[in-house]
Amino acid sequence: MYQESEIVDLLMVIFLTPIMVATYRVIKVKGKEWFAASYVMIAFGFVMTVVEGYIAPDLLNLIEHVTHAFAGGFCLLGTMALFRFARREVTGAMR
Amino acid sequence: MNAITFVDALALLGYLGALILILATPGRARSVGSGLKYPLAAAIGLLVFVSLSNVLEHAGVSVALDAYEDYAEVLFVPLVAYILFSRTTVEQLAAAKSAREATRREHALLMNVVDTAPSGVMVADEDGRVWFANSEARSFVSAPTAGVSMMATEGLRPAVVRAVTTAPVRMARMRVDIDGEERWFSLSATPLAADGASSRQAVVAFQDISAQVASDHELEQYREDLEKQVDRRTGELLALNRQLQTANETGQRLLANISHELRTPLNSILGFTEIMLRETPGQLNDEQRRQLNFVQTSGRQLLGMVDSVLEVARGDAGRGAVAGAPIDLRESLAQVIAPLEVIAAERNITLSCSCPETVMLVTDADKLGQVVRNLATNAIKFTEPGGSVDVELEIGADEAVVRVADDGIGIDPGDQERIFEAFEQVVSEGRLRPSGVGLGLAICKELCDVLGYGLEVQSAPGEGSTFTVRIPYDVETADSASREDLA
Repeated sequence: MYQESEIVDLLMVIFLTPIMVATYRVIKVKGKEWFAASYVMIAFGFVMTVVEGYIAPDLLNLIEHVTHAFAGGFCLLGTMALFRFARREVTGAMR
Repeated sequence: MNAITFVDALALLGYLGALILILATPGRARSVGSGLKYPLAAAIGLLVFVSLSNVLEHAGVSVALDAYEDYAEVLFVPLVAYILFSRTTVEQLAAAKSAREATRREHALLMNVVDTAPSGVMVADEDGRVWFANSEARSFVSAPTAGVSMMATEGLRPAVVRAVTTAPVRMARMRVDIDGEERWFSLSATPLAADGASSRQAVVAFQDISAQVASDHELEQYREDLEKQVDRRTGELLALNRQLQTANETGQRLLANISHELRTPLNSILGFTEIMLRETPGQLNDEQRRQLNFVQTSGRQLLGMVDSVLEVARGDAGRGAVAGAPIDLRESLAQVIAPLEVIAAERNITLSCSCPETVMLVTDADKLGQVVRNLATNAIKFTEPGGSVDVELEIGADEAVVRVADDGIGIDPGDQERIFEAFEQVVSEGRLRPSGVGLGLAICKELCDVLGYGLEVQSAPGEGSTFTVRIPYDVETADSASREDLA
């Protein structure tokens, strides 16, 4: 069975994600592709959390945790790109 | 450790690393800023918390954090949305600021350009109100007062209103009265888009061209005066020309008449002298014969001069018509030269005619003969005894060349143009003035011009002279003349 908080998470993902996709095209942040991939993984994990209450609970639960692992990796790559760019910008290496 | 715990541990490591890196990222970097760094750190921190809770739960260490995990997850998505929107807002504000700065710079540049222009530039409406004026135009604009915008000065206002109402206008000249003084302005106007304005507006550019207009008027006046002067002078010249023509014709007629009247008594003198020398009236002694010979020689010279004068008068009067007929050029030259051999012999001068080949051509034999006779006579006259005169004929592809060369006294280069003018004689230093009136070469030149021949001279003082007559001919005409002559 599902919890109320999981449904709230899913609803927010469903309604806010399209708006965020539109905004994503406009902003200029180094490594934004990795951050976007991380977000997609987390959102997918939220979906799996709800769905596991109805079908294949063990498999979908495993998948949910795997998506978190991927999301962590992508997030790390995104922050690395951002960190390097910001450092170069500050030290004046960027011309 | 089961699989889920392992996966959660990986997620925790990833998020922790990301959290450390984002906290280490310099917030003063323009591409990051505190507006991105801390919200992003908060979002990653939530994920660290969730991962840590999962690890502890699935490892069987503690479930104490699980109660708060749901709150953390609920906060995550709104936080990410906040990061995106705030970032977008910051970037848009930066872009707007940059655009405002660029607009300000462009405006300043435009104002500098407009203020530097030597013409007055203003934005005015059809009521004479002025909404903008550059530095040059400000002296023609009244200062704004309470409730009333700037206005074009009273003198210029009608011109501005007319330019605005008739815009587009390009460099229209308008007269303006400013403080009772008449001035001229050049005005151009371009209408502005209506944009809801209550009255029609236009950009009006103007320039004071009073000095230029005054200058144009002076120039026009000067041009008219000049034209009148030219007309007057032309009339005077025409009248003078008519007088000169009349005088010339009278002179020619007089010369012809006098020359003609002179021939009659001269012929009588020569005729009676000849009769006396034949001793028809009675026998002469030696002294009488000698003196009569003087009379005869002098009479012949005088007759030659009169004939020359008559020829010139006749030629100038346009009565020297060309009578063309086929001739054998060599034969014609021989006939001309033969009588001169006696004169040359009397002066101990060798006169030769070198004509190895000939050509048949159609020309006026009398006029050509006279040219050659005059040149040869001249050569004999200006050659010292013992000298020689040679007449040569050379036949070219399309012209025949007759050269009369002597080894006489020659002609100074400065005098070589002058010798072809009537009544001009060149007197060499240490020599007596030659006999004759200076018409021989003038007649030659005149006749060559009439016949279409070229006449040139090459000479140097003391080295003799060579006169060259170039007779152009057409081969077909020459062949035809030849056949006609044979017939």
